[in-house]
Amino acid sequence: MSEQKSSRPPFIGFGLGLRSEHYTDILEGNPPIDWFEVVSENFMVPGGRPMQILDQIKEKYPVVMHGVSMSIASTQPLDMDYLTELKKLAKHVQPKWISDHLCWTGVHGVNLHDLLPFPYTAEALDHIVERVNTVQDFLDHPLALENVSSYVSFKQSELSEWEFISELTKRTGCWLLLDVNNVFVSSYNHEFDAMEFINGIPEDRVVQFHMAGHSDYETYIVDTHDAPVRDEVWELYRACQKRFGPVSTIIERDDNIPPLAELMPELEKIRNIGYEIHPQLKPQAA
Amino acid sequence: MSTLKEIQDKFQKSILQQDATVMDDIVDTSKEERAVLLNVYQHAYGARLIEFLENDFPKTLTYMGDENFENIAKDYYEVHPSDNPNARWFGRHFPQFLAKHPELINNPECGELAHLEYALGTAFDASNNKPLTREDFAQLSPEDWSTLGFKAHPSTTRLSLKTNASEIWSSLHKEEELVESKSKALIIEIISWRGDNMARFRTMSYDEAMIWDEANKGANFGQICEMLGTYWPSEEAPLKAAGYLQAWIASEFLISTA
Repeated sequence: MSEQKSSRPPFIGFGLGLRSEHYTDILEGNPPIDWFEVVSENFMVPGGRPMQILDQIKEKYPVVMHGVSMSIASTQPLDMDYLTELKKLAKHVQPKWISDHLCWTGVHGVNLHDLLPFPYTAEALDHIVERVNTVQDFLDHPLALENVSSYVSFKQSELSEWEFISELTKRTGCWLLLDVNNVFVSSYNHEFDAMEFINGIPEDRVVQFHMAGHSDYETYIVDTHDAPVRDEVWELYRACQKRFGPVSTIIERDDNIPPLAELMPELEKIRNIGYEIHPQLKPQAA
Repeated sequence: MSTLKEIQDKFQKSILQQDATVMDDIVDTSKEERAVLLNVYQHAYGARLIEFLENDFPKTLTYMGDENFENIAKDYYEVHPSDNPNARWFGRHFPQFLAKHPELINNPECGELAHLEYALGTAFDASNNKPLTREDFAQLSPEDWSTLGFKAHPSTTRLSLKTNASEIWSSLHKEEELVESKSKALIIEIISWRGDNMARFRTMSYDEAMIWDEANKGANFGQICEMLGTYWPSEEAPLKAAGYLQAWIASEFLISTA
């Protein structure tokens, strides 16, 4: 891997997932948000308004690209057309890093547009390691992979999710985007201790946290990303900033998106916890 | 034991065809049965694809109503599962699917309304090719004009509507009382494009639509002047052609043929 791909991405603060509902407020109001995460596929279009907006955003804020369709765990061959487009976008955007999910999205040419689970086996690990290495060699940016929320687990699994992720980072040098809400959701659904997951992840590989809300159906939880962050997830966030921090963090709201002003207090809470645990980050009064 | 590939094949089948064989590979939890947990994915699949269509065809959704739209959207994704990593292109067959759907045989305006919405979506994020300007044409020598060719900007789409779908679109857009659908005795010729960063459409007269279509099939300026002779006296045809060309340039419909 080149120096650029292998070097640890910088800490860039506390931000938001960029959503079209907030474009005007962001571009006209210049809100105090440290950075934005953009969904790569939203800008993998030929041109027009989306790219113009992104160009204006990146003039003012650092940007990270977050994809949903790399399908790194699929047994279907890597989609090199997709990766070529992604690389082209990255060349234009110059993101601090590129992320996607540790999951698969379809086989046989079908895209199910979901972040699908797989068994944590040695076979899957070998397969994904090879693909991550290929992708990292192809892209000229650091690659971070995100843990997904899952609802089913497989009889074939030989490793825990955190053991699988740890091995993956050791064998590929990839970075991790730790979705703190997803850790909570999966721990509830699969009945493991969320802190065991967090303590099982290498301290030096996490470059970003996602914070989000979820929907509780009593016997299982669904990662809806459509609500404020829940108390249990705030507690995990504290633990994560302590173990891995300081780590760049965003609120990832995907549905039921409120006005920007309503998200700002939640972002402030994320920032304040970050400052409380890592006081050196707090800007000094002049 | 199933391999990763076998598990993914079975898992996908469970979502697309409600096939249950993957149930042998997944486990119950102490709180819930695996069938319920698997159903989270099965349910999310359809809901997500319907949402993509609702986002891309909001006026068609309003016009058809939630239930009707959803039922036909379900038929759509069974015939056209997504084959692209970008959800942006999932609905590309939807207008044609509506146009041919047996339940909409008496509502051709639904397919045409969806066609118009898709064309406007295309205009919104089409590539940023540099449009031809008046200055580009000013540099042409008089002898270049007769063989001058044309190329449409990627943001343009031509539609020939047999219903008043464009009027329905406008009434929905203005949130006015919905106009009643009707088939038109004469076709309504439409062009959509991106102008001043907005997706737009306007009607074209029959002669303008004809020469636009022919120009985009390769007819040069001399040939479209001749074609306009079928609508206008031959001495007026070049002037008409020049007038249309001027309007196309002003609206940034054209790009370089080079």
